[in-house]
Amino acid sequence: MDGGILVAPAGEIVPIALRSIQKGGTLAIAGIWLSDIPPLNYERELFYERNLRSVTANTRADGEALLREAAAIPLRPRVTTFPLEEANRGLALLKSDGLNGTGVLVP
Amino acid sequence: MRAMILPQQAPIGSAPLVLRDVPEPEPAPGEVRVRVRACGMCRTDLHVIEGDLPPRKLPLIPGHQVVGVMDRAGPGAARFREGDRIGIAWLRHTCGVCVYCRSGRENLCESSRFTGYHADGGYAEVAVVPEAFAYAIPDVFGDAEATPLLCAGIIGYRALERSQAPPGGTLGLWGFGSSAHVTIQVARARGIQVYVATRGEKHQALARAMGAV
Repeated sequence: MDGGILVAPAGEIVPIALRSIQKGGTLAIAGIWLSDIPPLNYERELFYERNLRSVTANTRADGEALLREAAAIPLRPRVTTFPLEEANRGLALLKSDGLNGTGVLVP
Repeated sequence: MRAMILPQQAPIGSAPLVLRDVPEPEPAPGEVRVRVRACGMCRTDLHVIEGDLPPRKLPLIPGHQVVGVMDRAGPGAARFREGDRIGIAWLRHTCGVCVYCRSGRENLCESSRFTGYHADGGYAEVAVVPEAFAYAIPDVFGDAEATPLLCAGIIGYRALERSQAPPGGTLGLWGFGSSAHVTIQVARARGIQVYVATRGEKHQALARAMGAV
């Protein structure tokens, strides 16, 4: 693949994902937190100019650009709504991969 | 107002958020106040609540994917009008003068502050935000469906840019939660072939429905 994005907060996936990226390609780690990354094998996972990059928050320009592009597509997120007071239940489902798309609290 | 408060960081299985009635916040100079219509839940909220990230404010109202309607402007705030639908995201303050801010990289600002972490967020009926860090929400989106754009979507968008996957190229996504399900739609619209690796059958089915190979 030309590029990849690791969104799961699982460092053990990093070497696996890097091996799937073609020479000169880039893996971006999207999370704010990641479990430890195991040792990398230079020949298999980084040589041939594979790139490993993190993503730290965003600029306001990123946000404006995403909203413009999303509105033009238009992009359709999949949401499941919960009453505000069910935040604990919704977050527990998020943690256990029990949500598909995005869980949303409605006050 | 009703709000879900985090008194102390703890595992989500212990139901650490408690429903409380607290005073509505007043917008400070340069801030706007929002009547919350919807607030997306984000994995970052879990990291904040469970203590993967060090505490910055306790007790805390989490939540940083907030869509609502502005109902009051603080002194000097003039960007939005009452009734405008606006969004509150993770980033809520940067210094504007450090080397990162002056080079278009405010995401790396040493003094950055975040909604639902350094300041109260949107797990509530009302929230406030500096107007310079709020977003106008396009009319094409409903309230709830706009919420994941405000963190999951933006982060996925930045990650897609940083992955340098070219239009017409190929992209791998490892994991298929809130962020990835938005990102795949942007990537597909750019003509990128997307391959998804995820364990859950429901996630696999959604990925296929959204155009994964």
